[in-house]
Amino acid sequence: MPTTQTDRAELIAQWLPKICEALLRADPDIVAIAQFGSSVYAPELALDLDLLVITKRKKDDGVYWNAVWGAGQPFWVDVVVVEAGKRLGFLSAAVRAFGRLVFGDKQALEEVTKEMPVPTFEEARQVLEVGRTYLRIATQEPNPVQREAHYRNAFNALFDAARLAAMAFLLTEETRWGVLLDRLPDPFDQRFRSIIYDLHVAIFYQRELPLDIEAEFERQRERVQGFIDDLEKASKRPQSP
Amino acid sequence: MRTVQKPSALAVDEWLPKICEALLRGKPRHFRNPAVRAFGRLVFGDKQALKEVTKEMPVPTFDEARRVLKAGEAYLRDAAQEQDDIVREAHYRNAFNALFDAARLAAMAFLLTEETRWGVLLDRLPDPFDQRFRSIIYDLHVAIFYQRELPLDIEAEFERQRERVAQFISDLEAASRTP
Repeated sequence: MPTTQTDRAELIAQWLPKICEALLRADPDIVAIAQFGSSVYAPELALDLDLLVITKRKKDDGVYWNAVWGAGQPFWVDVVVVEAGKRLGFLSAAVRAFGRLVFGDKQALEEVTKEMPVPTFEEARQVLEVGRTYLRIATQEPNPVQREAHYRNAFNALFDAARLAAMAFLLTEETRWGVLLDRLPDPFDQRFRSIIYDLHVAIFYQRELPLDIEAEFERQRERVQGFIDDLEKASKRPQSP
Repeated sequence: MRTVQKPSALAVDEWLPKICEALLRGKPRHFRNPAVRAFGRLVFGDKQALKEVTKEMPVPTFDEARRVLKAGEAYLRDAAQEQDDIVREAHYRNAFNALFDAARLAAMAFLLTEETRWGVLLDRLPDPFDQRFRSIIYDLHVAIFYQRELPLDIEAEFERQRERVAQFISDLEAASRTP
């Protein structure tokens, strides 16, 4: 008889302790195990089980796979392993949103899934240089479509630098430019709006490249550089009571 | 308090002919096109000429989308050679963002549209492409490019995501040919 979806959820719940025990036997340095993904947010529809393992010292991948498959459960298990204190990366948001600690230290889980720190003005300036690199790549690219993509990314890197500077000014981990725009005080909001429109929307998205690309890039780079410098200056000014 | 004096509408009309003369010596700038299309008023000359210089970019092709995947590969190579942590991170983020861009161009090619906003494209794509595109947007553009959440094994993940987007482009192209 085929397995129903509800059976699957029960099956996962029934096998989870055995799988955790197998993992802990294979790696005694494990400090936490979290369940995430569809088995948490839609258990009745889940086809597999996603586990995040946090360990003091990561072993060979085979150690974890052998442990999981040795447990004998009749469904697929995906295991992501990260060392305690390190950043999980782009799965962090998914684990933060739909993660459930099934073993160990909650602190360790929070540590590996915490958001990226607020960028600095210096970081924003370094990202400006990335734009210059793409401009150089573009001039050496013989294929016109790829060349256009490099040019677009060069201008988009300038937008990205302005976005990071806005985050630095607002001391926020918020990354969405629409939200940053709303929070910036006048006249920075107007300057940022115009940078977003010219560099990110018109050039990157709408592929509206200027006629003299190199000259325009330099002009825009100076404009964003000025925006970053002015934001930094304003951030150092004492606040009025 | 510092005040900024804005020119009156009358002053604009007085100066417009002189500005037109100055502009005749210059060249149009492409990246103002949408603004001119939306809020432009012809004050001298040929309406056709204005339409010509401000017309939208043509709809991209699936082949162009595949070419943009290559841009991502170039940034991954740059990242591997970069010593500075911040710059390396930016190259990695742009590498994944180029994959998102390729998927976006493929969605435009499939829908035969000049619409460039991913939110609108997402709404217009039929099922299951809308779900696949949503997931590509989230993973590559939002989580990695905007939120700087890089994967643990970046090179392996890039290859996995490159194949995922290449497949998305191929499937969209196959579906566009289905009668």
